[in-house]
Amino acid sequence: MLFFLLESFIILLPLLGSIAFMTLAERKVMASMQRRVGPNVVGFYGTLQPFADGLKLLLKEAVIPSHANKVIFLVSPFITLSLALMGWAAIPFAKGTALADLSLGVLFLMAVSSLGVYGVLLAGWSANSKYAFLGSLRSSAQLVSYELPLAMVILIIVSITGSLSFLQIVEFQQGVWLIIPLLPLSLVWFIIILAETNRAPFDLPESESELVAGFMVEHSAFPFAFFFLGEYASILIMSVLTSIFFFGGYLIPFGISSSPFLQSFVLGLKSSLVFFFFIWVRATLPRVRFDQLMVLCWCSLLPLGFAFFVLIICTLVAFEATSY
Amino acid sequence: MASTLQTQDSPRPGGFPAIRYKRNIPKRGPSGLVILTGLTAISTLGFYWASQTIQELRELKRERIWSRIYLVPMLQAELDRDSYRRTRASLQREAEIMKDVPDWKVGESVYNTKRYVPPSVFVLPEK
Repeated sequence: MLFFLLESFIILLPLLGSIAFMTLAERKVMASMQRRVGPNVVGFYGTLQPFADGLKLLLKEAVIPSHANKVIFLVSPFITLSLALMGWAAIPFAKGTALADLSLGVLFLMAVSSLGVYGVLLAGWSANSKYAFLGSLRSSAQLVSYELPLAMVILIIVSITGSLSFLQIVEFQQGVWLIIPLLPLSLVWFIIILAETNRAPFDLPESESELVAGFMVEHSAFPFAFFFLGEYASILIMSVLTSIFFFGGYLIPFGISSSPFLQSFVLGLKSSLVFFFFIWVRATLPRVRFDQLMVLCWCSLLPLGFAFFVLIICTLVAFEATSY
Repeated sequence: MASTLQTQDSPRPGGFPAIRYKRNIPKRGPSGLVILTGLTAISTLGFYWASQTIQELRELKRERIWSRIYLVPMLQAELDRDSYRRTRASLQREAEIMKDVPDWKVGESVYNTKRYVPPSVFVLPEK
């Protein structure tokens, strides 16, 4: 029991630290893309800025609206963050180094990330405010819609590798990184992960400059910080999933064998590059309309996903390359 | 009536040149066909490598299954030897424990049959 707690903390503490520094990385990268300086006062070149922000949110008064359902209002940020962190249990950081090497790890992760919608729904409903409620409806509609093409892409990857275990999916890519056979599909995947994490250009339910924050408009101080952490944790998990599904996870190219430390470093490097892609897109593209968002999902990505699924299953069967 | 020379606003001899209404956007990057061909080529190569990996994995799986099948007689013999040794030890233990009880038959079957019943319980050494 104690050892399990220790193991969880070994993963969770650096994870929360990396989430904090992700916010800093995002602000710095976006600043240099917009020819600004970015945060540079707190600490050396602004490196302590996230901790200053966190401390500020911790010390502020958490305003709870008098007409809100207080229990759900306070529990929903916690649900969001804990569900976003729960998915990390199944992620392999190096060969044989996962908190729980589940044989159905992909299913577990999809289930946990689907449950994340409840945090959004409960937060919007319990605040008893029209704006928060509308924001939560839009956010959850977006999340539920984009879950389908996401599942489709994962289904294709599972059908090629013949396994639902993350470790086996990564080990399969010793032969070839899946981005090479699935190059068109990876573009679909990049669009989906942007929408699934409510990021620009699909961040219209919670556009930070015009609408205040969508479903979490009534949350302030520490509950808000929980939402913020949960959002960035899900971005990080999507980055890691991208590197596991398409870029060979912890593997080093050309079959070079290495120590677990180097392997987890490589996984971190790949995930950071994917996160850079998130920031890059945010600094480049304007926001889409809500109807465009829905049409893109239901009329483009989902049919494309189905078509690829049929094509790839047929190819595997035709060339007798099914792995089961 | 003297005819007056009137100038009419008409096209000049030979007509006007065609108006360039086409958008003048320079073509950049490879054409759609080239991109499509390139994507298909990369995907095909990738699928070739992936199918090789799948076949290697299948071969490894087949090898694993057959190695287990070939090991079955050896494992069965080991199990028989072990269960015989444990049965003997159990009988000895029983005889030692029940030596003061008269009319006790050591090793009498607890089942209501004459047939051999493999032992379902083994006494393992205490750690």
